[in-house]
Amino acid sequence: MVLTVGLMPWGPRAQAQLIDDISFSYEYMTLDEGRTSGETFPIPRVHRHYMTASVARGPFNVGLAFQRTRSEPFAITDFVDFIPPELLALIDTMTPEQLATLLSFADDTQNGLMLTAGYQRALTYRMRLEASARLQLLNDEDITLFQARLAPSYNDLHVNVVFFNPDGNGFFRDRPYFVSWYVGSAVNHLGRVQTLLGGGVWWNNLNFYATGFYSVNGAEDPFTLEPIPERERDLNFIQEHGVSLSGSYDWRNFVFGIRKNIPFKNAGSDISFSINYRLFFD
Amino acid sequence: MKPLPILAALAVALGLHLLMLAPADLQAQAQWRVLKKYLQADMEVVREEPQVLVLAHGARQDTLRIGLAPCDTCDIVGELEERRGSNPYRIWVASEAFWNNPERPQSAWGQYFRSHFLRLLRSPEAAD
Repeated sequence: MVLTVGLMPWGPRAQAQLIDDISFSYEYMTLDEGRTSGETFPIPRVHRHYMTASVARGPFNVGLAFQRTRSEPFAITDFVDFIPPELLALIDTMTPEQLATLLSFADDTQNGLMLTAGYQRALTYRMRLEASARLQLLNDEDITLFQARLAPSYNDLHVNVVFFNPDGNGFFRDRPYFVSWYVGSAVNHLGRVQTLLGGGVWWNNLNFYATGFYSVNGAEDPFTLEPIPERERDLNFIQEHGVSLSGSYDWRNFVFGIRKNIPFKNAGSDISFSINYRLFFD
Repeated sequence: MKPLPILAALAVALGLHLLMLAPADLQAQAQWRVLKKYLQADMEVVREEPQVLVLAHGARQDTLRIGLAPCDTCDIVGELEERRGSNPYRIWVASEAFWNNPERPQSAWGQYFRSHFLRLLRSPEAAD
């Protein structure tokens, strides 16, 4: 957050005409592998469906986001090859609560509903600010601490400063390409702060982006069997480091996207597929 | 090597770079370079300023004036358009005079610009 605020310039606003729109999106994410404590390990497969509907008027947009997350049943035998012998021996001695910690992902479904809001503004002809926030409206009730690991909904704030060139940076195969990059940060209700640095290129309706994410704070190992504060068991407080690679294709009013997370520390190796439809009003 | 200090250093360097560039400087870097890629070989640049580019077509003895800001005398004006979640990008809008000039029928525009630019060029109504 500090990084972003420090970069904000105080100058005249660039005169870019903003197009109003109504937007609908659907994203499916799945993962069956995670990384923590410097090791990659399998986890019960998680499926996440994330749907949004929103409307943008001028620099503001507001909408709703619904998220449904399901984790497949967990069988310790499915992962026995990946569990160190000493941990297997430890499992035999675990208390029910410790075992619940280990199995906390398994065989569960959670729903969450969020209010979304966003703001964007062109600061100069080469730089713009975008901010977005999500606010938890409804969560599945009676979620235990361990079930909350599926993170059914969020309260968070994202702020990015994006650098771009409205005229393109050059030509490839007779068509202009546009390079942009951004620096940003995100903070959630647990106080975890992430810094983001990304860069990419748009060409001929194809968009490729790479983003590095780095948590400034957070839990080192939420899966530890040692007693730790409740907040540190929550996946929303996990200290994530990694890279996210994404690609999308614009076709008429649709955007089709794919994204792959590559964790360096404490993050999931998830892959996402998305479709977004926007109806523009001139 | 920790990524955070590297990210912070990059962000600070970029911030300083941008703060040293006044908005006027940024505007002065008008990207005629990209527009000139769209020109046919017969087009000659007569004058190039931050806000205006004047072009001439020798064989047709015709000149075109292209601006980056609202301009009464411009044949084509570049404007910025922005959509949610995407970066502002330049659109090119023909003036009424250019669009309806019988001495420059649209069938002849291919002598000035390459086809890709003509597909991008918007009618005067687009500016409303």
